[in-house]
Amino acid sequence: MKGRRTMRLVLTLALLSVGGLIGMLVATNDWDLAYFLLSALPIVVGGWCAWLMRGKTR
Amino acid sequence: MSNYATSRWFRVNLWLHRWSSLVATIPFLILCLTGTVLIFHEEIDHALGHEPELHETLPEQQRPLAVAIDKVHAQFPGERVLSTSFDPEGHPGMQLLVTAPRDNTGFDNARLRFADLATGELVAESDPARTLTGFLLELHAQWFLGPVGELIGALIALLVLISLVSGMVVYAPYVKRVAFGVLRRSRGPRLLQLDLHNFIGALVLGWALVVTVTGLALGFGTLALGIWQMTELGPMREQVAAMQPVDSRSPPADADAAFAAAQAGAGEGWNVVTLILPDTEFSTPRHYTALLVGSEGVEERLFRVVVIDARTGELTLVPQVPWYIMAISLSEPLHFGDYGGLPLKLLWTACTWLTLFITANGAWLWWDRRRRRTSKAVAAEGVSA
Repeated sequence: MKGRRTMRLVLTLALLSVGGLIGMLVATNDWDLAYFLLSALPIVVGGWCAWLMRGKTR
Repeated sequence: MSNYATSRWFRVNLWLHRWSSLVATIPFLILCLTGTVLIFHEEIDHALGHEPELHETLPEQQRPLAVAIDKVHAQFPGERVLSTSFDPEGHPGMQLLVTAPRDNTGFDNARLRFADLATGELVAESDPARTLTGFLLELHAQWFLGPVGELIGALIALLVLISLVSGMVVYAPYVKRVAFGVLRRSRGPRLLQLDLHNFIGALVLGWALVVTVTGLALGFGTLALGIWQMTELGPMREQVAAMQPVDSRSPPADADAAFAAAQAGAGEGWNVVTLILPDTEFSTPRHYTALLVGSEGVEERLFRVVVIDARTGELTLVPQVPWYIMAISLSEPLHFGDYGGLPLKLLWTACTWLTLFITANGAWLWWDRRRRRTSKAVAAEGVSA
């Protein structure tokens, strides 16, 4: 995945992460886990992508 | 090279990204290191014995607040109680008392004393400025320079914000050439470090934006409080100037009467957590100031203010908290990441360390590029000579 699609992915992950961090603060305890997973999503998706792309050079 | 990468827009952003990051590198590294420790300030304070042992106290076992206040004044005649608080989550069963030398109205030289709610006995004390976390907090939040240091912190946050936003612009042409997640390990250390810088930067972008914007807001905390006191609370202070002050160590209406009046005036779901005694920088010589927090969701992180007459024990004023104070109040948990238990603290630590890494490796990328250019120029001079 390259170019605009990557930019869209990065910005979407950043927005979801911000949403998760704020959501966890403003929501009641019942939704904490869901919001926490959302805030950790960029690291999870990034880790997955790095695993898939291991050994590649472009 | 594409048109975009040679455009003026790109070059301006590259310049902004490079220099805002380089100027902020050293202070930002210090902020990341101290911030990592401060994420776990509660655990560290408990481990180092700065906090008393915790226990639950049933409401019917609770002694009047004035008992512990009177004990402080009796045991430490040179001191006065500035405020008394409850922290049911962090310090269950404890009444927290902030004390200072008798003639002080400010909280700068304050000590924190803990009283057992069931007995009113003083069980522990702590001087926040002399604890490890207190020292690091003063460095992190104020650079040991007081309110001026807070503004310096805001300036650093602004530089980091510029670096993040310009970094996104600079990232765009890079992702046309290199796929997301690719780390070119076999093409030399420079390309690997560049890939790591861009990849990790993309991962922590959202978190870094939150921490930076909230850090910027917190930098204006003292200034915002001062503005509120001078503007919206100013008329009340002028009225009070004509009133007869009370003895701040033993006002006619004691802390329990003021607490009850504040709680009665609180809206549903709001509870008094802090009562500031008369004649401090946050109360008038005639009034108590009570701080209330909500019990659920975002209201747990917001506060309301109630002013109680220390002579009559009656509710005098319920001033509206302005939007900018609310924004700063919400910024604190979003900056320190202490609102979601251990999992969020671990996420905060991971993101802080990743940010620490890209700050350092960004500086290395700049230094390496400069070194290469210098050696090329020297080689070219050697050839032409």
